[in-house]
Amino acid sequence: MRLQLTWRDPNTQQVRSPTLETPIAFGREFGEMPSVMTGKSVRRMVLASEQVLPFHAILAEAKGKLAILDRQEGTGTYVNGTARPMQAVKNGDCITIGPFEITVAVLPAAESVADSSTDKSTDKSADQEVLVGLATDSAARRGLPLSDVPPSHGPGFGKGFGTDGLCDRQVGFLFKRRCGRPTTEGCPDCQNGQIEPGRDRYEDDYAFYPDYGHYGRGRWGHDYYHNRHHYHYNPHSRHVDFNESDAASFEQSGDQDYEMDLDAS
Amino acid sequence: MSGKILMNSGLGWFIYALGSGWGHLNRALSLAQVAAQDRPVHVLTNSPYAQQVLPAVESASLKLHQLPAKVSVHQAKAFVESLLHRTAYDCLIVDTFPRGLVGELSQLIPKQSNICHVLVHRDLNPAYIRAKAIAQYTRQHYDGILIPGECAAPLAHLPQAKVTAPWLSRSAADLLNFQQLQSQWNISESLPLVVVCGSGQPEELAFWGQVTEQMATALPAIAVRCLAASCPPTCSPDRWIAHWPGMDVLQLADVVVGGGGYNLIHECEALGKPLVAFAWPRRYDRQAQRIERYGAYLVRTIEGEEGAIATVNLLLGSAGHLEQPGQSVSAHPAPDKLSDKVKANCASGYAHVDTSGHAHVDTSGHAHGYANGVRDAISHIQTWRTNHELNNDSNAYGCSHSSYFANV
Repeated sequence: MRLQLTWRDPNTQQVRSPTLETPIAFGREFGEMPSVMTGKSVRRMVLASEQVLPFHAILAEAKGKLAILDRQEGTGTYVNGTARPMQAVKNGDCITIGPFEITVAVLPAAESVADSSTDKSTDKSADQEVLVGLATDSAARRGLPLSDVPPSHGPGFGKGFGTDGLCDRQVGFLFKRRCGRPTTEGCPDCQNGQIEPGRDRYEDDYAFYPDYGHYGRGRWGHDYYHNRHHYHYNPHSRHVDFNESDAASFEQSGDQDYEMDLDAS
Repeated sequence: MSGKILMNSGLGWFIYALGSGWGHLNRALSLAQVAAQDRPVHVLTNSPYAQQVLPAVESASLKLHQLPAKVSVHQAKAFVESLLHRTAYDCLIVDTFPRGLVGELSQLIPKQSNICHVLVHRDLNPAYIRAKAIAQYTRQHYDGILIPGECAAPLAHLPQAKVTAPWLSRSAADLLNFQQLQSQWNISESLPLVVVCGSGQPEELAFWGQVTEQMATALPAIAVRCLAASCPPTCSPDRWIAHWPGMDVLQLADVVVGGGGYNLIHECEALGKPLVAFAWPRRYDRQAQRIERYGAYLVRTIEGEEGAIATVNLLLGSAGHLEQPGQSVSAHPAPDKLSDKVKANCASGYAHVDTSGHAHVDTSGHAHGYANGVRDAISHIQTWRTNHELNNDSNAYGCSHSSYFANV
């Protein structure tokens, strides 16, 4: 089922209106939300607020009907002002998660884009099984498969995409390269299109790296550039894919290495 | 040593220098020994070498506090908090780790409104800076940042940063007598001398012993000594020198072999000694970058002892000490260009240093004067401390900084 979700971001006051295929996860942390559920790629919507759980709720189709599952046992997600663990959602409803008020528009089936890769399943009982499983089995909530699946839609959504239908965004923390994805859905760089084209998700971080972009000797980026063959380096295009890999090293295991023992030498 | 410390000038300074190894301890003691001439100074260390230097440094005004060995991270946090709570000081000087080595200062420092906080900042891994939001934390909670020598360090852009010359354990005038040391350590004047510096982690000591022995075997026309706190198990005791501070011994060397840590790099740079350096992997430090920046001769770990021996052979050969080898060292910077390179790197950095004071090597290899940033650092700290005090007073009287200073 294809939906258009519309809300005003309380942090920036900008109106967001992405078009997404179900299932759709809502949460504060992109990496905490599942990327795949029973073979379907999950669209992950990041809602930046402390009132939102890292993985807060999931909106999915069950037996041809739309429903939302709240992961706080019905205390954190409202549909038209009512909070329940799982409840139906229909065209025009308003979902409230923390400070976000999200209006749901169900798009006609004719506008849906055929999914030839991963969304082939028409077994609605599988969707029901997912929802029931999520509602009743907390272990299952944590155990959702997290393997990456290629984006199921394409090509592009207009703004920010080139004539070839691929995303023009420059991505990567240290070494910029063209994104080249056919869709914003499932993209960690624009977070499902929530970061506007031309805006860099690392914008604020670069303030702490005054020599960013300079890779000569004596610059802090020199070692990374010097060792670029360790990453996904294309010697023909001279592009270095340091995107997911550097984000992962900075934000996950790398972080945990610091301030953990008394020997720094 | 008595636990009492003289309180003759204010409450004194507390230098936090946890981090193990020699680096944090030596840098802290370089500052502490001079600062303690005018005020009480406390130094906190967890270096395994602290016990060996303690007799030489402790005085009525300088107290060395040692974190007990083999404590857990939790116990270490409790120890630090307790020590900082029961010690009298009005200036906390934190070496390298603004949040503390295990994050134990992160909650404490913001509560210390009466204490002036100064960070001693050398190069740091940018991943650590980002992972722990070090730049924001430092900018918000530190009165001043001292950058001894490494003017391209990641926090150099913060407004409270001041660059000084590197802090050295010996100023030029204080180096021990050259001939006396040669005699003490039975070092021949007629042979070129290579000093292998066995610093770094204790488990690396055996490696330095191997380097010493293999170099002595491979290059019989030179004298080789290993400078280390204890004799490496792989090294002959008659080649081992135990001496602190190591700068006294380094001045005797024609070539130094060691790691790429802060102290050795800057000591060799000051003395004008060519350094053949291994870049050891470190969590918070970037030795390879420092080695290249300061024009030392980088030996990749994979090249091992043989790589170091070949480089030393080429250096001494090209300097006329040994028979000229067939290869050249043109891939490396020439030794007499090293200071120029550092000056270029720090073009506007050493605002308080006469750059002509950098090490210059005469034909005998003796160093003539070099800059030591310790006294400039003390001057900056005093200024920050005074400003902190004035700001606190103005806040206490309920007036803004600007109106307070307008009335002074």
